Amino acid sequence: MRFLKLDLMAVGPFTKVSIDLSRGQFGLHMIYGPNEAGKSSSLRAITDFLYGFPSRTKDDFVHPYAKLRIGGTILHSDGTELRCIRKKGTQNTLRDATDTSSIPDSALQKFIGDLDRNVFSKMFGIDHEALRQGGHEIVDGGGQVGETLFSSASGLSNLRSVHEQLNSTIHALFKPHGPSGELGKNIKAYDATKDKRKQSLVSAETWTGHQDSMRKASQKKEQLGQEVVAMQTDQNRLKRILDSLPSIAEWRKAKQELDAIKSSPILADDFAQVCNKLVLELRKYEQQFGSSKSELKSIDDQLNALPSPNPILDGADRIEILKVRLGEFRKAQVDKPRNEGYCQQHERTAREILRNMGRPTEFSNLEHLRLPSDKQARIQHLGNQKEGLVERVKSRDNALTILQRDIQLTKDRLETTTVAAHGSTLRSKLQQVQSEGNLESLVVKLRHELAAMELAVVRKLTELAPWTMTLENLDPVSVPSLATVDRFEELWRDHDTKTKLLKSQFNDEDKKAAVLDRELAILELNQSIPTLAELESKKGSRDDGWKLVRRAWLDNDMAADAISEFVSQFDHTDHLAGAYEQSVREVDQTAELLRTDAERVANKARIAFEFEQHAQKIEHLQAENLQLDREREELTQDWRSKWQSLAIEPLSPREMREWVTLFKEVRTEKGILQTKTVELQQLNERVATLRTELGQLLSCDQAAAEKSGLSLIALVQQAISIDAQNRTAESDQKQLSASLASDQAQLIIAQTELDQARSEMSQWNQDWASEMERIGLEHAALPSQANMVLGQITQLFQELYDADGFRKRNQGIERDSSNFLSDVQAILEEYSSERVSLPVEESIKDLSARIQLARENATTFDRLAADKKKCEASLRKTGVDINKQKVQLNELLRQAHCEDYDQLARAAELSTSHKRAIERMELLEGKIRSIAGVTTLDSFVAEADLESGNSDSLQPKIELMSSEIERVKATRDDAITQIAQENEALRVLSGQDEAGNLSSECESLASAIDEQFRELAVLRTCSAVLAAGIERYRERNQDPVLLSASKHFRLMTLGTFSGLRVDLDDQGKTIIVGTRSNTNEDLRVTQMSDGTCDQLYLALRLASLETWLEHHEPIPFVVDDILLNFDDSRALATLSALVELSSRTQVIFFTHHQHLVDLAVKSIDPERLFVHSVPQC
Amino acid sequence: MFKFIHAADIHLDSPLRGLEQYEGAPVQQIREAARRALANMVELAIQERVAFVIIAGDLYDGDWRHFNTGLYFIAQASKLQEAGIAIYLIAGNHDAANRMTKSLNLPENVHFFDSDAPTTAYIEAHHVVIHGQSFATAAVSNDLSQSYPLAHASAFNIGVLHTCATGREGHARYAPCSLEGLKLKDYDYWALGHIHQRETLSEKPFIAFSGNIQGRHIRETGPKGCLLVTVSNDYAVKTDFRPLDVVRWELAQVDISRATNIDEVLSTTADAIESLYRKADGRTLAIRIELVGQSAVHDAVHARRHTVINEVRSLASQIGRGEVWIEKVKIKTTKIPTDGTSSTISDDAMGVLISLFNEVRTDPIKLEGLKFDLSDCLRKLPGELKDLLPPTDPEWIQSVIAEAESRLFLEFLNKETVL
Repeated sequence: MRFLKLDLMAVGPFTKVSIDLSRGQFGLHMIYGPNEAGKSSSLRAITDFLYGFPSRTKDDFVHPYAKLRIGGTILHSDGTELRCIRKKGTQNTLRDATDTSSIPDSALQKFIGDLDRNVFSKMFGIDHEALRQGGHEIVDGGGQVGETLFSSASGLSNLRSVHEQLNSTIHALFKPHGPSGELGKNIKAYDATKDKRKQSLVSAETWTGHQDSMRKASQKKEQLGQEVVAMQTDQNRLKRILDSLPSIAEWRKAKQELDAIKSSPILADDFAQVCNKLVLELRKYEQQFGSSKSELKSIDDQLNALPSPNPILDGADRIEILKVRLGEFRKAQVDKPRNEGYCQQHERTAREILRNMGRPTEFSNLEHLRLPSDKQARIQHLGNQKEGLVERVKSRDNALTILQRDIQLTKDRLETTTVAAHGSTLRSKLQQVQSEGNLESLVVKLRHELAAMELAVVRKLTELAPWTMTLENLDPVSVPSLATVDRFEELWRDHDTKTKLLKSQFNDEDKKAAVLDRELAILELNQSIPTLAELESKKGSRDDGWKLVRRAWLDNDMAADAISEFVSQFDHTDHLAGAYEQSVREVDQTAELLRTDAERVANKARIAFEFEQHAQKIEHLQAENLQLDREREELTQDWRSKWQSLAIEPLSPREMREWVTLFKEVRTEKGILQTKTVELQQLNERVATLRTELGQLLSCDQAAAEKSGLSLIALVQQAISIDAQNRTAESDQKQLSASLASDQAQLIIAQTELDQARSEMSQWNQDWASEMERIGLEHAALPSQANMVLGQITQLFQELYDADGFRKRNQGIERDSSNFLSDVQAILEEYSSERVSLPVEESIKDLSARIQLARENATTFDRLAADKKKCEASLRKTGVDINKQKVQLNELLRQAHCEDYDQLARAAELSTSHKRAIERMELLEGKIRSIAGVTTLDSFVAEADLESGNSDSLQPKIELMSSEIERVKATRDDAITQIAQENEALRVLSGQDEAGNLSSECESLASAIDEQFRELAVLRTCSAVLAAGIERYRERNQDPVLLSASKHFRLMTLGTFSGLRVDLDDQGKTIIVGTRSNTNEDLRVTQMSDGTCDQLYLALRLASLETWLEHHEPIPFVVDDILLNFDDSRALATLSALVELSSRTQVIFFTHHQHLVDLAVKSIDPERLFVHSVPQC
Repeated sequence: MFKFIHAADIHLDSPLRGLEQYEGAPVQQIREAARRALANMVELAIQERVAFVIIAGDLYDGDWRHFNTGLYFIAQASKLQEAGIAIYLIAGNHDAANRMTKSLNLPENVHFFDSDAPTTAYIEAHHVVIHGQSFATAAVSNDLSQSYPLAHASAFNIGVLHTCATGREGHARYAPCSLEGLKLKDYDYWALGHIHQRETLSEKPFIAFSGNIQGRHIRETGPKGCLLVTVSNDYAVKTDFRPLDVVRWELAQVDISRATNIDEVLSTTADAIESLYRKADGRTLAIRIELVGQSAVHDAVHARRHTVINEVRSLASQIGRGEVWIEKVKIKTTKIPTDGTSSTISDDAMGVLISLFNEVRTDPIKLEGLKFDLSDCLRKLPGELKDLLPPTDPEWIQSVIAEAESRLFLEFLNKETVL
């Protein structure tokens, strides 16, 4: 595959930029761009085109993601060409050449095979950094053959660090020796956790053992506690007895005192005060009783002096009401004449209105004038309608008149507007002509193109010399295809390669033979070395001699000929015996030599064997060489036969490819020429036809004579002008017709509205006449007249209503006055018949004074009656109190066993002494009881009497008991301590519930170990396969790659090194060494300069690529400025190597450095080097 | 009518296996899972007012003799005692040798069947007889059921037996017996233990393994619990499975054949986790994720296995609100085969590596020829782990090779790009 074109349509800084990479067979394409020119973008564009844009790209600084586009045209070695476009996206990113539809990525697979992006970028891409890293890696690895070859073949310039990283990851996980990695740590942690779990397990027996101990200790503690309590109880009893002895003695004394006064009665504590108080109160009550009696007598006297109650008080309420009604009576007498005046005034006004209306002034028969409110409203409503109806009839009439005038005007304009009859035909023809474009200018352009093409084709035809041919008879000629030419070139190249390889092998074999010769010469420098074959031969000769001797000796058969022949083989003798002896001696000597110098013999045998091998190889190579010569001859014949039909002697396939290409171009261009000639003829005919048709249509408007001789363009211009006029007329006609139709429709509506308005006016007139008749006006009366009459009627009835109101009020006044006077008369007759003759007001005043006096007498009577009641109640109460006091005093006399009140004080004193004696007894008994506790007083006193028999021994006895108690307590504390200890032990055990957690932890660690063990297996598999892969690649490719790399290395180092070979290092590992040309000395990579190591890496990369290309579709090799550290001569040598590679595959070389471009242009064949500049953006 | 509970294989204080600890994993939730499952059973018994509880062996786990385990059981048994519920239990292969039962004083409601011969317990209140025999040693190979007595007439007969029945994969072959042999005894119910997977062997008479009450590793997935048995007055049996587990094991096979990148793989996996989490009724979940299917991201998920695992764990933490533990993420995907029309690159440097991987994949013994060796590591492993690790398991080896291939190319050899 090779790129023919790379289109940087919209990527990085580029917009619609193309790089033409089609020149040359493959070619070394040098793409130059100064810094910031977009060289890196164009470099990335190659990969992005083939594999798609990565999800994040740096090339979007001008064009957004959606607009990014890279186009490309690529060519397969079988001639298939693919033109497509790559856009940015996640799917369907490969598009066809027109960027209109997507095409599958598999379309590219034929061109790039299974190479994924990563392999492509590593194997077929190299930049300066990768070159330097590759060089360093070679040095760091000491030039180990396997790693170096694998690294250069895969393009993995960091293979060694990958391998080291892999190993360090493995070691971080697990190390069989020394400090263990993560996995080892987890294994240790697992063991430790398992041990910890084992230790944390506590058996049930241990637990129950502690429980038993605790139970026993508890029992002991309980028992000792009880003992302590018992002893303390006894001790306390003795202590109490000791403490109570003084109290008991005192108690006995008090008891005797009490017995002396126990016959006197015990009275209440306040007996004396109560007695005293009761006597004093008795005296006070007796005094109150006497004064109440005198007061009662005085009240009775006052009551008897008062008169009896007056009956006038019963009518007091009615007389009060008459006083109030007297005020109303007076006011009514004042209002009555005024109301009369108001009534007369309203009646006068009503008569005036009747007069104004032209009616009689009598108030009788007026009801027919009264109008209900709905009738009044209807007359007012009709009056309001009149103005609107009149206005409506008038406006509809006017509108009708205007419409009739407009319609007549439109009809007149329509009659004057006309349109041409053939307008539409002219328009469609005009559109047809215009759609076909400017045919006349096309004719001119095509004619010019044809002339130019014809000239060019004829010129190319002459370039096909020595073969001569005219354009006319070009078609029947048969020419070999490009594929055939390529096949022959391939065959030729293969043949050349084989020949070169054969020559090289010849040379190698010659060199090896010379080396063997030299070795043999050195080996036999002092003494020739026999071989086993010689020994066998001499033994044969000896045996032959023995047979002759035996025959002569036993059979007496002297075979003279045979003997002489035998003897002639040996010098210095002329008889059989001598010859035989010599033969035996030679055999012995040879055998002895073979025995004593076995090492040299073996060496010689080896050399002889190898020599034989070489001889066979050379023979084989010669046979191959002959075969190659034969094949070469057959190839040449075959090649010539392909060109026999053209009767020319073919040049090399490479040169003939260009000839065939040119021939095919000529044939293609001839085809185009023919097609275009036919096209021109058809165009001319079409122009003539259109002119005729258009001319005929235009002649309908103007004279036909004017149209002949005009060009198509001129005819079209005229047609456009006429068509424009026709369009205007058509438009006017349409507008007028539409307007007429609209006006006529409106005329019908206006007529209908006018009729309706007139009909409504007529109905109104009828209604109005009827209503006017009702209120006595003429039919034609105005609405304002009607309104005025309605107002007068309303006012008339209002005045009549008001007059009637005043009249009725005066009638009411008269009725009330009469009632009042009759009521006054009635009450006077009832209470004071002797004064009825007085005026009404004085009568009422007199009645009021009499009522006042009667009320005052009644009040005095009530007060005296109340005082009497109070006095009687007080007398009753005092009597009761005196009795109560006497009852209580009598009870006290009984309690104190006394006869009269004066003895009571002494009885109280005796009672107090008695009580004090009892209290003292109780106090002492309480004291003794508090000491005795639950024991009864008598038992305790008896017990005390018993124990106090020997009161001096009580104290020592108590002290003895204290020490005993302390001893038992100490024992009990031991038991408590033991309980606490067992409790603690059980608590600790209960707390040790981490066994379960430790189990979980063990399981967790086991899972971690499982996972890490797997990780170890994965990493070791990676490592093992990588190491094996490196070794396998070395075994398969070492010889051809090193052979090819030697050549490149020699070239790149300008012959400083004659080549590369394999050697063993100090550890016995195979390493690559370079052989110096001048000294033939081997130099290890560690001894080479950095630059030389870079060149070594590049040489190996190129050699690996060449090996790969032998079996695969070519893939372009993309190089990014790798010559930065090379001097000019080495840079040129490297460029030459790349030129050499470019005969196998396309090489695209990106650089920032103009001097490299200049250097290349100056020194490299322009047929193989093509320089491109990255366009400035 | 009365109810009882049939449970077995409680393996009290046995840890859950295979859960590698990681940041955010619900560590506390899995601790004491077996204890909490037992507590759930006790709560269920009290709530349902069952007459008694049967535990058909393996109350304890092997030689686990931590006193606290026994105390815990006693505490739970005491709760049942307070509720007037008796426990009938036998020793299975795991707790035959365990002396915990003898050492600790069991509450009076716990009835332990003897190991010398089958014995019978009578529950007068419900006319129930329970026949049972404990394992005397860890390995009992004879059919214990043969010596069980025949059914008592006019009583509801229950046989309690720890057995492998006719044999089940993954379980030791202890006290084998036949279904016909059990039926011959004419019992109404056989409460079996030992097989951790719940299984009904016969409907009439009802013969069943209740399974264990708490799954312990990924081979014990799904709901785990006991059988709540209702016996009607005419001795008809109705069973109802009641889950008791506090941590549920689930295996999620996630088909990633449609995924085109790692994000889509994670998204599909998240859906699977969420679906399981919704069904778990708030339980803690221990999930194994198996990525399966022929997938375009086969190499990517292998090469980024550790990242995928961490991402899946993080997803699980978010979805499960800290209640989901990702046990493992296993990648069992396959590559999408190429159409065979493309040219081969087998003779270049990378091609040589691909060829080597193809060779060891088809013949893993060739790995040893490539100086591949794990014996140094195996030597350092404790014995019990050595037995658990799978370096001879062909599936394990294939998965290791698949990951190694993807990682060698994508992780190690893909680190720098020239173009």
